[in-house]
Amino acid sequence: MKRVKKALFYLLAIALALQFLIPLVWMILSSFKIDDTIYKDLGTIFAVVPHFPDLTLKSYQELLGYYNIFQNLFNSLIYASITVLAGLIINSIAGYSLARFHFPFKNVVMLFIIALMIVPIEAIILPLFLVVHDMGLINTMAGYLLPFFVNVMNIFLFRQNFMSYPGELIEASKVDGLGEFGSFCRIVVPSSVPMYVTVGILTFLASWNDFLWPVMAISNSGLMPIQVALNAIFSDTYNIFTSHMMAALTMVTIPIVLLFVVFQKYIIDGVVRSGIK
Amino acid sequence: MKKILVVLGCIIFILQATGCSSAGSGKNGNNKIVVWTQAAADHPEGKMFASRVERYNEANPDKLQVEIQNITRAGAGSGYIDKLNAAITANDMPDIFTLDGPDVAAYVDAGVIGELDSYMSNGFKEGFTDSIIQQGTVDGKFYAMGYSDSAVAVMYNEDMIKALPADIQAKVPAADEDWTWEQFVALARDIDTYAKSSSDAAFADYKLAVSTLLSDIASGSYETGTYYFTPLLWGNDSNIVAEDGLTVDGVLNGEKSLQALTSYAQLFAGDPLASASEPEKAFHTGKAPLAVAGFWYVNELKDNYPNLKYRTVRYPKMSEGYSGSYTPSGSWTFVKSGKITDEEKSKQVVEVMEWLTNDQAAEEYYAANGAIPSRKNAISVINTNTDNAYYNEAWTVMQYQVEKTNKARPVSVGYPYLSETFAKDVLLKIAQNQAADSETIQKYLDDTVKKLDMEFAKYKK
Amino acid sequence: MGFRNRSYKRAEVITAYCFLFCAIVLALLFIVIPIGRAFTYGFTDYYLLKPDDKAFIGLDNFYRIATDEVFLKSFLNTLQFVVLVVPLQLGMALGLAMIVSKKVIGNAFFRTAYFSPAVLSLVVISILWTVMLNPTSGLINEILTGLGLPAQPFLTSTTQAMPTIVFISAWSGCGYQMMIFLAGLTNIDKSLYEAADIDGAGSFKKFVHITLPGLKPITMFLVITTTIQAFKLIVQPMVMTGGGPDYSTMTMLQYIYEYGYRHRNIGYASAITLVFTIFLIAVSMVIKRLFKEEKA
Repeated sequence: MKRVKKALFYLLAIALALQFLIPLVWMILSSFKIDDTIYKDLGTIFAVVPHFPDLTLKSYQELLGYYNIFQNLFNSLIYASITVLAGLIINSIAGYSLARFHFPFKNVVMLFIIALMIVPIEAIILPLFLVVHDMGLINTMAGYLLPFFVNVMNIFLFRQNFMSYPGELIEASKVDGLGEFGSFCRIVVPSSVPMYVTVGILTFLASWNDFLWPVMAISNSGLMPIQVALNAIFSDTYNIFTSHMMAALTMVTIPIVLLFVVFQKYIIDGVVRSGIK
Repeated sequence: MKKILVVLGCIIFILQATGCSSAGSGKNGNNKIVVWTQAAADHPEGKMFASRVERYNEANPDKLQVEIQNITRAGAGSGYIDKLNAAITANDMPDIFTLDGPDVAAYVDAGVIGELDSYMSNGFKEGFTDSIIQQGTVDGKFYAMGYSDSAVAVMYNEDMIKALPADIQAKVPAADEDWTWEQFVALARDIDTYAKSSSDAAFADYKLAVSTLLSDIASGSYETGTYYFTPLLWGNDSNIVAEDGLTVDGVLNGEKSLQALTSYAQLFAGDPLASASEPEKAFHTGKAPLAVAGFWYVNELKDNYPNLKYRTVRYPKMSEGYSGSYTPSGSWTFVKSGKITDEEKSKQVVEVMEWLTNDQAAEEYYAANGAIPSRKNAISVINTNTDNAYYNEAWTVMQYQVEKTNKARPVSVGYPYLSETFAKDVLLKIAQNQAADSETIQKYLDDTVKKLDMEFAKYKK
Repeated sequence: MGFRNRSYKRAEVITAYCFLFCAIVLALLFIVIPIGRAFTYGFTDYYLLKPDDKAFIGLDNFYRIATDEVFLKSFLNTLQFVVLVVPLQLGMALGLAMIVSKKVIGNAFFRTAYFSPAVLSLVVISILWTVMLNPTSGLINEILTGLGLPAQPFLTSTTQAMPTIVFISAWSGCGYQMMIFLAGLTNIDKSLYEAADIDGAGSFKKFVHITLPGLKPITMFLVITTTIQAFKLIVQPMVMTGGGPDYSTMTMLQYIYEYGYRHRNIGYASAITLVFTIFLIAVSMVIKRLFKEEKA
């Protein structure tokens, strides 16, 4: 009885695992084939199991001949990095200010932030587009990036985090001749590294994966981030065959896989923390 | 404290600087002439433009150099147009760009394209065929130089038709015969019934009776639908919009339109003969014996499917008694940005446009791409005396239609929305819901008219 | 605001506002002003290609919304998506979490496998599935026919397209929530299970009486976030179906995109934005209130 139960458990667990893995495996394998092979293999086990004599780099070579994917990947990397850096600075000092200082209208500012937390940013994407448009910043890096530096949720998270930081340590550091900003940089930030890494990674992923805003804000192919470029490639039915598309999808996924491998602990932590709070 | 201000100041400064620099290096840089086209760089059409621009630059080393940019389609739906619109609102327009003929009026109305009459060389305009002049003229002024014309006919797969019983075969008209939509649908119905019960090898891959490219509309190429099937309304002495370009009530939902569209819907009645999700290249690969086929099929078949025995007959007329023009026509054009203020530059821009659309260009486009010439003097290059009988027949039919029955799509400032809504909310909806009774179709039409009226309110004030 | 014993220190106030400066300016520019814009433009016939030609037209845009069948359809589609995807995705996540919480051989493999779609962006997921779901030459139909099942039209059918998008969204999103449930499961006091074992309770009883109540706060949180997230569906239909067939996958956000960005009808799209934003704020306030009552 127990054996049967165990076997059933494994059967279910493995079936579910296959359900998640088959699309990924198929994507990667197909990127190393030519279209004829992809469709010939569809009904066979070779759709998801490598058959090495059939594998080739042809689709990658051809794809890179049609589209400069590296440029788009690089754009995305730059955009995400700037957003992370600027976002961490702006949101954390704002959170710190709210956690530590007493100043007039602090309650108003707090209320303002809490109120903005329930505004669904994606829903106001059109008027945001108009504001950026009126500033003459459509199709510029500034217009694309500036709106997403401030993240009220992150300000709030940083504030919660800094609230629990003992004030005496900061006072002590001030005696050592550090100013407010100095003590923040030298004392507070180093002790909150996990928080910074977690928020930073989540910001990075959000920026890397964003699609709607770049579609609206960027039409210049030189500035296009990778997600939008992918969609453009997808709609090019003249040059692009399934194998090319799978090569493009695989190339876009590799950096994120690396990110997950390196920062695994922080990502899980971030996901979980955002859930527990 | 100071440090933080410096850091933030730096961030903002850098962003502003990059913002300014990328805005400054916009398409309107005065050191070159930028051309945007919807044609892919390695598509025959894209190659033709590139080659002509290259020769222009070589011949005119002292003038502004011309740079052609092939705009890859991006975003959902009709990508090139979305991107063009984005560039227009961002004030980042190219000097010359391509536009589909019927869309010209909307861009004239928005004030983003410039008129050409005062810059064109003498007699150049008159060299275009009448339908090209018609499609490029808004309120008496000429704005758009068409670089090719177009035509749509019906093609059939000879092997499959020959496998049919004689009485069905007899329903296929000759290449120089007019026929009606009703006869066309009846033929398709007979073929479908036979093919499904036959074990003849000719029908081994049979999937559907008629390939209509409706699947293209479903994936965002709305204009294809309007281009292919508005002629059914024309052939019943109706249209999708009145002469003024904005009145749809009583026209699109009028009796004659309803009649035509109910007849169109017979393709989807009962066992559907056509589908909004047909397999790709269904006609080319022998999955469909019939196709509503654009002129580009001829070269596609010649180059990539040399073994397919295709025959060509005329585009069916909706009402036998109708005597006006009714077949699809018109194509993409070159237009000039309305934001060029420099007179000298304007002159050269129009010179480049003439270079891209003159008699010689039209002949080259035909040779490279099978594009129907837009110049009167170039029409004679269409060759119907090759050693390929299928090819000759196809071009004979197309040429006949271009000369005798082609009609330009309506001129309307609201055309892009009109066309998309008609394609999605009428043509595609009928296909997807397999609605074939006139009551349902009348409802679709009334709903569409209501929707169009609300959107057109902005033009009517 | 209560009375304060100490007055503000000038230096501290200046520092505080300096620290807040960027955040406040950016929030005003890119959140508050856009909301204001939606308000003003919603009452005009602003057409982006003719910016100098806009006029105040009162409530016309809102009358139009009230009679616009595609608006209603998009709204109902969005609602349908939310109602289907939230239980499906969270149910899958909980089930997967139960599996990987068992300390068995291969546990790490299962966890990685279930979490693996998290490395794919929404665009990648949408494109990949569109290719796999191709009705005539896709992997999924090939598998179905291989198993002796009939091939399906999936995204090209008005009745199947939305459920397909629901499934794909749940498939791609449940890995994250599995991790959160997993953390919740490990937080449940082990002694409760031991006590239940002594009482001879079956595993189903233990699940209902110990596991579920233990996960309640996390579940409530996930319901809220997933619901709000689900209302903002746009990327999948935009890439996979363009809102079709026959508007069966058109969502609120995409409808705003269609009118505001593609047709440049800013007036009408702003009015829709306004209606939708207010609706979303109301929804999140209602579920937050429910959450609070539950807590108390």
